[in-house]
Amino acid sequence: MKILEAAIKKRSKKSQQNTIPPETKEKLEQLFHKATTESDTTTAAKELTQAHAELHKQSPPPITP
Amino acid sequence: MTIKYQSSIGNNHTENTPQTPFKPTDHPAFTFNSPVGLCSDQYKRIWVADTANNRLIVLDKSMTKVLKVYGEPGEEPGQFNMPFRLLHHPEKPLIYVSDLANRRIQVLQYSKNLSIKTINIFGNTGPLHEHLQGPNGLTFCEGKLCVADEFFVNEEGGGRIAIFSESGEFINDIQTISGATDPGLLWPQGLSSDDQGRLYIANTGFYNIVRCDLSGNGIPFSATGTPEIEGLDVSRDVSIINNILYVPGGSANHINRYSIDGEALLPLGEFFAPIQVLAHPDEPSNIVVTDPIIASVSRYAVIDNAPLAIPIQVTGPARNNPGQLYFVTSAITEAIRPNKTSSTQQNTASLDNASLFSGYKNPFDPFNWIPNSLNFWEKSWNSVTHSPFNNWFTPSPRPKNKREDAWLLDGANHQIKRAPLCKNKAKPDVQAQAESLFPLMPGALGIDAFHPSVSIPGQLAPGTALFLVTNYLSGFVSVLQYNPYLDDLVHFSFFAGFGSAPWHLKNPQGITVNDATGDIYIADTGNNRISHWRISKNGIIGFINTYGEQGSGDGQFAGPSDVSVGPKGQLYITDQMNNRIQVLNSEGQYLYQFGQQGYGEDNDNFLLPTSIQATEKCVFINDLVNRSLKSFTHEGVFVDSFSGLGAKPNTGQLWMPYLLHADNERLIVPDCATNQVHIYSTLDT
Repeated sequence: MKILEAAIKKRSKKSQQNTIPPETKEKLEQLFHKATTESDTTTAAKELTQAHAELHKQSPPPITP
Repeated sequence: MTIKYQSSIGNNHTENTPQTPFKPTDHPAFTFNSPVGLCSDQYKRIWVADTANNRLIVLDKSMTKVLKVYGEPGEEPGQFNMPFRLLHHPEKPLIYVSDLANRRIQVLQYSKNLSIKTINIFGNTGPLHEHLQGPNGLTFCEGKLCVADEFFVNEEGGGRIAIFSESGEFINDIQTISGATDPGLLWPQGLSSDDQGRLYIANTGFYNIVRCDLSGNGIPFSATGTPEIEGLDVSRDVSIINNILYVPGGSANHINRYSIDGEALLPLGEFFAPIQVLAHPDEPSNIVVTDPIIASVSRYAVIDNAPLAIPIQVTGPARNNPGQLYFVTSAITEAIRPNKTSSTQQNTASLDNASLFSGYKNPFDPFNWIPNSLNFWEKSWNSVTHSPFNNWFTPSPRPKNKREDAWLLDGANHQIKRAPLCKNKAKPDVQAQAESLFPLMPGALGIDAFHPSVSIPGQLAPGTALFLVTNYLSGFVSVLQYNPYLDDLVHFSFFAGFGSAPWHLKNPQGITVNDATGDIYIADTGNNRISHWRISKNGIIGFINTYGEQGSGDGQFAGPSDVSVGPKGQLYITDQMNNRIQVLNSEGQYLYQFGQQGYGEDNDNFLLPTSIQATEKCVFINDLVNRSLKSFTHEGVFVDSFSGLGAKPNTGQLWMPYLLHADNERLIVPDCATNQVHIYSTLDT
């Protein structure tokens, strides 16, 4: 099983390196606060979805077909 | 504990195909399902392997019309189980199809008017060593058909390239590449060749592209000095177009490009998860790209020295038809339904101010400020939510025998969907309809429910569950509650956020909540640890600790993907890259581990174990590469399994099973590639 072991070893060294800029993280946190504490939660939820859609363009999911 | 397939949720709408030719834009119910393979024919038509729908689609060259739909699920000629890659014969009107889960190659002959028939099938007969185990990429090289046999396993655990004559006689295979840094092949998928008789292999398990001749002699790239191109995020395919290598997904959201000598060129950006690239048959500067996750086939213009390809045509309506799923990643079961028979007149009942303030004590008492104010808030809230205002909704604790629904996280539709679970186990409903509920944010991945023993201040429907949803993009966990007035889920709270500080999460996946204690555990995949939080009876969520670090020792992790609380509060964790299960106590101390790296459908070997759920009786594990759902005792002794790669409907076959859910009666497994959720009975027979 040397080939399998070599490949798995190589795989375990790889890790996802994507990051989020601090300003994006701060904005997300503010939007979550709005969505959970303020009266106009619908608007905040829409903005949250939009902000996540921007992140979505940069990072595929952990497993793909 | 036996695992027996019972039914599936998720409508793929393949039964009522419109009469061809038709425009897909006129038929939104006609959708692709994880399309992969592409080729063009002698009449400049484009053929698409609609892989999870087990059929081929022929498009006109503008890609605006469907000219033919060919094939159906099955094992007979003209039937498929995961048709994956397509290859046109160099001269004849023949198309070779790697019929992956049927483990064979089908050769189709077509005519100008698209009369199609299977004229040859091979790869599944003859001596055992000639049998294909998972045919994927195809290419003709020096007149021979080369097949990337993805799931072939030799004694070293490696794969191979099988070589046939064009009529299907087995010639030989390539199992090692001499001169390569990593000479083995593992799960090779994509395959191409050039006019000098050189093979280019997308060697998926090693994350590289490797070049060799038909005898397996590595041919170095001048740019790298070795037969390999390294540094790829994923390596699923390689295509040669105008002497340039295209590697879809080589870096996130990109198609990487290299010269034929291996020199890196400007990658093309703004894709999602591309899997195959084809030169457009009529316009040399255009490429056609399949993306299985967004279920589309798209045409782009490529401009020299530009980092982006310009989209011209996207074919494949969104998979948002009623009952349809679109990258479904996780599931739970719940019994929340509104009381439809309640009188609306009761909604107009006024609030009782006396009861609202009956629990009032001086909140500024210096000795009791915090508990008093929390008690005040909680009692006040309870008096509101238990007032006649709410009588039309009947809150109830989670009854064991009440009819439950499956709540499905439908990732690409950005929704949680609810589908009834079959009442009659003898006659299961195989196509349960999933109805849309709460709109989710992109990146939502894992879900679990918390069933508070007391109503939590701020809860609109006391007695119902709170839903916790991880988001792999932002690292936040959303807490949602049921709103009985809307019959929908709304935001309740949130916690964490992207990063590596102790209270942060990085690419989190599975999540679990201990109902008895309010402890929340999250598989913090990117930080190689388990994150521990707790929700109090007042609904306040606080960070407790993290457990583990990167490594392969006891209590260390390499990409933990899921976590589940056992009956004694212990934590079962899929330590995915270490190919084992680790068990910790509720405070994160290492207890024991089980399983080891290896192939096997019915043992305690694992290859990328992805998801886990402990029940009162046993532990269920989704062993991804082995395509096996396995049950174990709590101590880690193998009990039973259900396995099988494929996409044949109503069989429970698996392609990309993700975060599973289990109770004491059934196992619910979302497959994010076939876009179905399979339900298995786990009752002892």
